[in-house]
Amino acid sequence: MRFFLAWTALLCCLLLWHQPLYAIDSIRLQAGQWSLDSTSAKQFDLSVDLTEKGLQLKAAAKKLDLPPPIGSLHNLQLFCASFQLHAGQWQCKSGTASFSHQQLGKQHFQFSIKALADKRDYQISINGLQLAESRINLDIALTDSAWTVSLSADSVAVTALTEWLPLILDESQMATLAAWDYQGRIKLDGRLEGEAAQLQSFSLDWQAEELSVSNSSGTQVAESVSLNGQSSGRLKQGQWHWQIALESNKGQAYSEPIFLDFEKYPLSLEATGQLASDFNSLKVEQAQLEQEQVLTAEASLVWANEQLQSLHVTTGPANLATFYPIWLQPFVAGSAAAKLETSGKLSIDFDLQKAGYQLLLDFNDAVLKDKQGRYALNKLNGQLGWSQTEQQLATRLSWHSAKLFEIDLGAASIEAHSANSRLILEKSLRLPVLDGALEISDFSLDNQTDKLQWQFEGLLTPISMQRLTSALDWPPLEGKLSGVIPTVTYQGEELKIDGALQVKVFDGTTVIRDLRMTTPFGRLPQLYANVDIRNLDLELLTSAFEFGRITGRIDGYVKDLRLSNWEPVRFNAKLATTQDNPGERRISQRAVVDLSELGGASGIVSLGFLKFFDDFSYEKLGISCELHNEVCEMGGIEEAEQGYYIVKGGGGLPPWIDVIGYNHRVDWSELVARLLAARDSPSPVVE
Amino acid sequence: MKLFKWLTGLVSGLMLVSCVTINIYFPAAAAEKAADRIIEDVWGPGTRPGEELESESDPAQEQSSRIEAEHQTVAIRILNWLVSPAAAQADININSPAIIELKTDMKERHNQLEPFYNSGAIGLTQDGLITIRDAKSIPLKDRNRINALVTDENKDRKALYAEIARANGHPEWQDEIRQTFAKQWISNAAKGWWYQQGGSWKQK
Repeated sequence: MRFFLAWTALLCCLLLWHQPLYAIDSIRLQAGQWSLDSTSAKQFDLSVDLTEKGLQLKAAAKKLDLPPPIGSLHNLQLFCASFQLHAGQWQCKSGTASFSHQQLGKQHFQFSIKALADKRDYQISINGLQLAESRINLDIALTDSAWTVSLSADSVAVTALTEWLPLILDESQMATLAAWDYQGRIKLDGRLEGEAAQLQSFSLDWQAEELSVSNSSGTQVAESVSLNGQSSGRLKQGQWHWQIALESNKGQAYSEPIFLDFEKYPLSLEATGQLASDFNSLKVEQAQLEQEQVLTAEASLVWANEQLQSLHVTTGPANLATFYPIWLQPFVAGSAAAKLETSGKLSIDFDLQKAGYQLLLDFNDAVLKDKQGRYALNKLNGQLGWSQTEQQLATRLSWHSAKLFEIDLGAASIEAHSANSRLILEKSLRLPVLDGALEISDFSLDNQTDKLQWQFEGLLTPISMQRLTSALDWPPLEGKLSGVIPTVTYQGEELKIDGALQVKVFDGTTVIRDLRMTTPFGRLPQLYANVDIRNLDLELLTSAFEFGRITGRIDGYVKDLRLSNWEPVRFNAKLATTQDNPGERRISQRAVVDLSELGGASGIVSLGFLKFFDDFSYEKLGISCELHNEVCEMGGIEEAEQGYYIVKGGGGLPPWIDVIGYNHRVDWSELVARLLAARDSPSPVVE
Repeated sequence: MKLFKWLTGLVSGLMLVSCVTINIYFPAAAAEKAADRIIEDVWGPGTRPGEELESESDPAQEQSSRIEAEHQTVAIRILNWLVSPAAAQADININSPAIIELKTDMKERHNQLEPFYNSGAIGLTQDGLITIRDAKSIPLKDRNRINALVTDENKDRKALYAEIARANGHPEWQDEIRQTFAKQWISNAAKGWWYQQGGSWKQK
């Protein structure tokens, strides 16, 4: 504003300085140096001529120094073809002015002035001012107490503004601005009203084209954006009451980590609020955001003391298929929710106060499906509440079906509440797992220290192994898996299951203890466990694996088992004939061959006359493998010459047969291949 | 060759003397070799400019390097016989299924990342990871895709370092393996790629 005031001062200065000119046709004043207050001129030349139309006024100065912020004007020329004076009013209907100025460059424009000098009422209009590569027209009305400026600029080049911004911005503001790159053109129409040096109200309409803005680190960027906007404000008791409306349907923007494509999803924003005149506090009373095909949101916020004091955002039901990739996915990169296929609707209510935030997510027929196939939730409905404050928020969620890796989970519903960054289950939850269920009670989730941890007590009602093994694409097993799980805890990316899982399979018992998993949804899930195997019926086992036929019972263990990415990489395992009550022990020819191949016992397969017998009696059998570094250190039940006994004949009636393994170190992948080959080979080849 | 034999003798002698303690230390040379092999698998053989091309175009050199490799095997065999099995374990196993899967994923991702290494948008950090170095050179619409790729790559790299340490029965080696890789990624990087050194960026 100071700029316009100075301009007016300049024009008035030149035009008011008139002399009585009666009876003279022409008057000319010249001064090598002239000064008045803080204004001075060099080589000043003023001439006034009486013409048929009235007075013609001409003024020129080599240099005119005006008070800041204008500074020096060079080669100033003023011309008014018809200068009229009567009854305390003077006017110049049509004048031209030109000068050059360091920031404003060379200027040449038309002007008109109408003045009621005694009432200090001036009306000035300037046409064709060249600023920032744009033609600018100004209409200025000045009275003793107030002023109004209407301006229109047809196409301001944003980059060119830089040159004359020092006129209105201070050093620190300029330094902030220097960290930004900007270009584009803006068409501007506006009206400003003020009193003395204070702006009182404004109203601006603008259309920006090809607007590109970027900060130096590239975290806040707009590219080739078309932006139509309208804003207005009025100062009342030290507060600006403002409103703004923006819309864009062209260009792209990135505000880390959100990417907005205005062409694909046009965006509009309307907001009203208040801003303290010293810019120290901002209140957005109501903001409405609409992103076509994606969401509608309403927000309000208070910013004061250089920080956010409160924020409330509510969104209408957003289409998850478009909402997730734009507004959620960028925040969860690297997490288990980083790559989801989503559909359905989601509404959000987020309220941030000093005490913390409250978040309410409302799902409507939502589908969340991990693209890596680790989990899926179908038809998720209801609300999930999370509260950092003391105020409780309820969770009532249900889903129609779910999947964890390849295991189908049935419909379930959760009733819980949240307060103080904790979520507590109100009612125990029954989660159908294949044909059984996991009953979860005393579930609580805690994120107080920003390190997520949760725990529950569980009971696994029997799941048929047949369903489980087929879901996991393992060799089919008969039997049941069940377990009482005193506590399951998740802390520091580690899932730990206290207690034991029991697998009733092959008429025996297998107990899985010390089960824990690190980064279960991370890049390389690690599973650790110890397994005890008791009293398995070999006949059932061998028939399940189509591994010849062996009768008898075995015990065993798998110690220090580690699966990396669900593949065994380390264990110490042994299976051997039960000592106490081994049952009837016979082994078929095919089983002999298969076992021999396992142990690399090549020479022993030559059975000679024994091939006429279907099966043989044995005293004991067993095999052990210590897997480490891709190599299985193999052993049997007893040391043999240069090898180890896998089967030791004896017990019932002869003929007896021994199977001796010679390979102490077997490549694990080769062993697995041998096992699969033994299972898949159609019939034994016995010499 | 004389020098080689002499060195072999010296090393075997030293190993015999110190075979009890040899596994306590991190096998730095073996780890470097393992890192180089993985890096070559992930980045492809042509990443380090010149070297592979030269050996391909010069069959004589290729032959001599093969002979050398045979000699090495013989040397290792002798060492194994002398100090077995302690020294043999100083080899680093990088063939576990998890490592192979990580390598495959990283190789596939590298095809997407490579243009951004070349443009300087992504640089190698001194702790064996990668980071966005110059976000401004990435088109806006690709920003989040590249951010996600960098996050995934770093997750895989961390998992790889941990898995190599675990697979070799020394989870405590994880940091040393990471440091070894940090060095080798940079030394294998192609001309023009950016890497961090002492907190500032340098270009190869």
